[in-house]
Amino acid sequence: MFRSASIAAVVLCTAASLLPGCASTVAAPRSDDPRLASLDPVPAGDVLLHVRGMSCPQCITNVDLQLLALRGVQRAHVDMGAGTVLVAVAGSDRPAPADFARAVERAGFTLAGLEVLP
Amino acid sequence: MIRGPSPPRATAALLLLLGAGPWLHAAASAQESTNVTSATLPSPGVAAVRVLWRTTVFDDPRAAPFALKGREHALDTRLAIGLLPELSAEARLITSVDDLDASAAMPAGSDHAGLADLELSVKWRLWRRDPGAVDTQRLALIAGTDLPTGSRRLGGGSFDPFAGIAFTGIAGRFGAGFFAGWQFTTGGHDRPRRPGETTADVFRLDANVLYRVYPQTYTSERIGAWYVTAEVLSTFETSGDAEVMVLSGILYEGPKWAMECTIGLPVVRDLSRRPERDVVITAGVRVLF
Repeated sequence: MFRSASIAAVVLCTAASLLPGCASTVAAPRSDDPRLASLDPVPAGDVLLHVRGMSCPQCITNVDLQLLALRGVQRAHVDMGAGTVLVAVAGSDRPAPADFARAVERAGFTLAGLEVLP
Repeated sequence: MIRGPSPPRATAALLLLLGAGPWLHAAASAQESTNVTSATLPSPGVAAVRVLWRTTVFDDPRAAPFALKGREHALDTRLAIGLLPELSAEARLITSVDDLDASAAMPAGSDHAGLADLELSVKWRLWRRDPGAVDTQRLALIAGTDLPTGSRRLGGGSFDPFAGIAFTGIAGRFGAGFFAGWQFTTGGHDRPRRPGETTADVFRLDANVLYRVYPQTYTSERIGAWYVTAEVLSTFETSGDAEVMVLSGILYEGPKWAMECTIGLPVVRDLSRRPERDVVITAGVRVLF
């Protein structure tokens, strides 16, 4: 029993020593750009979303599924290198920046910016 | 190899679990190591299906009731469904087959094949921070229970609730994760083989690191990534038993599917109530459909 408790104490102390580095970032905001809260639909055409947190190839599928579920979104192409998603929007019922922000949040990531491309 | 019948209710649970898959969009939770519970979860309306094949080699030279020499093969099937942006539910079922050379740890008439207890759990993401394009940090609470649905040897015949906390952090090519959890064991298996199968409660403390070998940097191409992984799985039971395993492995993850493989060896085996495990080999796939 003493040996088990000793092992547990060593593992716990090791883990505890690693946690402060993670805890120091707890209060950071997800996105502070007020334009991303806009409810005005984006114009038809291409929209470039700047997304943070897409750390692996399967994140692409999560983002695709949530963005393509938005009305008016025709295509979505993720560029993991740039941390962007190029979205083609068409039709009369188009999403607003707030809809994009919500979809990216639902996918588990953070929308940091949005550009309407000419 | 000796095979035995499966109880109807456990078979029904498996069919329900597997049958639900095709009706859902699927997306695996990302960049998880194979054996450490992560803080990642599927988004709402999305399902993550994961199937792992696990072979455990037992070679315990001690006298009965521990003596066990041979292999146990298990199919570990998990279905996680995103319910809310920060909440998912998971069902997990293990199908097990024995391939034993010698065993004094098995009572006469025991099942050598069948279903283990169905495990149901929820994961609640407490906190998330995405500091960069490919960087993220997540913290989640996990709570659930084993249901008494398994066959005689493979099931505990009781509700065994558990709770824990998981952290996942990814920074560029590096990833790390921690899990700490407690399982309240209200029943016990006829012949326990793993932590949590005796009547003792279990404290689990697991950690993992991942390193992305390829690609060095992501591009606009939709390509897969290769990782090497290292894991430490620790269990400490209220009976005094303790076991620490070290595992290494590889993980391939593409946009639509992933495959993974690990091999684990015990570095601490202080067991007085169950046989010792020599090697644990795990291989699995996550398919998006």
